[in-house]
Amino acid sequence: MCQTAEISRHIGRIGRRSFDRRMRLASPLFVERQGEVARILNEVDRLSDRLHDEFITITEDDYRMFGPELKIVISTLKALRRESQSRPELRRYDERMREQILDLEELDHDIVEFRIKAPKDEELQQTLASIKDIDFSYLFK
Amino acid sequence: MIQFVSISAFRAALSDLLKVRHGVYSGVQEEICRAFQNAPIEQIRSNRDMVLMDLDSVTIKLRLPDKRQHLSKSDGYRLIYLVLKDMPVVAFLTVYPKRGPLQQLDIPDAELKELVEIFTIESRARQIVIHDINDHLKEIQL
Repeated sequence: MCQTAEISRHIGRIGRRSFDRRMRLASPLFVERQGEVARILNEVDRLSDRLHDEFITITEDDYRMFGPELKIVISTLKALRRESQSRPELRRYDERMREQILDLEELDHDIVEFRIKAPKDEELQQTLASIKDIDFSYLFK
Repeated sequence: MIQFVSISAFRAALSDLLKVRHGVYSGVQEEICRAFQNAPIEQIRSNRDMVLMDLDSVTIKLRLPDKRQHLSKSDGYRLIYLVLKDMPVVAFLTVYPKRGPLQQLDIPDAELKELVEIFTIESRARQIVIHDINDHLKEIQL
């Protein structure tokens, strides 16, 4: 089992900060505190790295805990990106946000497909197990 | 010596990419070769980019950039490969781009199952093809 609690806390922190960011962006009195958006995006990068590193240990129970929060982070990031696009001083973050959203969406999808569905797929598991009976020695003659 | 092999599905996917007009995906072979050239088998087996399944063999989704189009790993290619644990054999199952006319956003579990089945069938029939990782994945005859 992965460090679900840590991942959940990490996601929660990002979610709260980016939501707060969105609310302040919407204000006509908005002024970005230096580096604030960059700090959020750095956190997202760290989350993404963590999910990649722990991917193979993530279980269905883990995903049940942090999956919904992960989806919230993705949708909040998308909204943050949309609002940032109308602020010239924040457009420099656009490409980075785009890549991060893609990365998290892909991770989310792959967790469902390969950490939840694939282990239950008996046919797939049997096929994978049968590989050890195949003779590949001829490739080295 | 590591043997890099492929199944028909990979070669078909590669061929489709190389046929796209204006050479949009012409850098794909280069990116694959660059990822594996001079890499020891232990590194290939333990690539933590995205280990999809880890049993008697390891199935990995590798994110590759597309330097020709100045695309990062996020936007480049995805290479799905399988590497045996008891022999230095790396099998390319499929490759797809994340952007452009042939973009594919994800690979579902059902598609991966099909690829693994093709791998076992073609391996038993000795129909997998060996590639030269130092020469643009040129096919090698045994």
